Amino acid sequence: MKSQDAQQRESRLRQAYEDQPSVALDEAWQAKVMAAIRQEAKDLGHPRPHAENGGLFLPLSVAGCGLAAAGLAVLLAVWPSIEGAVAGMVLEELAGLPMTLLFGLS
Amino acid sequence: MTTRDEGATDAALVAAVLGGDHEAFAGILRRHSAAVSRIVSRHLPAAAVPDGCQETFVRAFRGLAGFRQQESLGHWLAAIAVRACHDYWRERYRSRELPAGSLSDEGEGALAESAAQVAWQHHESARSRREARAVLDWALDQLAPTDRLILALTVLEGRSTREAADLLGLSLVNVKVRALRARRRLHQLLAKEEERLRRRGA
Repeated sequence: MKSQDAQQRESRLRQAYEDQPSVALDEAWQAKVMAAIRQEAKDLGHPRPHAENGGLFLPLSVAGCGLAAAGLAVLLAVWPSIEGAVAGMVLEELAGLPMTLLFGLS
Repeated sequence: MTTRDEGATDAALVAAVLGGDHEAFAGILRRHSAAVSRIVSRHLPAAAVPDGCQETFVRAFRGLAGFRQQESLGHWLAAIAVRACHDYWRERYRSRELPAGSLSDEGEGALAESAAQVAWQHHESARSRREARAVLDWALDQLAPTDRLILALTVLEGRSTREAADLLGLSLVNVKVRALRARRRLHQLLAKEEERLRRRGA
């Protein structure tokens, strides 16, 4: 009985679902969609394969290269002072080493 | 349909659009809009159908380069339409624009009749059809968006779980599990509501 109830219920629901009329799409709707398509083509530049998946690849790549170039330029600009400081520290360490060893041993 | 579109195959229209002739897309639109509307009308409220169909065609235009000529354009558009409907419901649920949780008066009438075992016997009448639709909409609104679409495709449209999985872009196992769960939930909901109305009427 239970399964019969379920079957009847499903059959009625199916009937109600099938009875749902399709919405008619008129010329005005088509004109609106074509306007959206033209705008889409203008914005994106068609043809553009897999735009929804790969659309960000180019802008991100350009931005990444730009950031890398800027980073390199900054590094080159400050390199002499870094180099000097590092060299100074190394020399200081080397100069101090025998003395430390001497004092350490004594 | 213009004379240029009439003789052109779907493949030729697709090639023309991909070649930069965007106006050729109008041929695709004219040829397939009725079929897309039939699909979208079944899944969305009538007021949302024109926008749902537009979304389908705009997505199709964006992804046209991904269309494989081996499959039919109609089937490809059907999958886009079903996914657009799926996204519509997901968005509605996310933004909490949920339909009313309670059943409308029309739906209550239909279920009360069902509880009294008289139910739906007169479903040829316009009123009963409206009531039946109210019950169906209410029951579908109680389901999660994905379950809703799966139930509609499998139980109501009679498609196989494989077809539903293809249309929604989900795995077969996922669709099978969800279809079973959604069907069970649908019957529980309707039985519970029938019981409530039976008690209220007693």
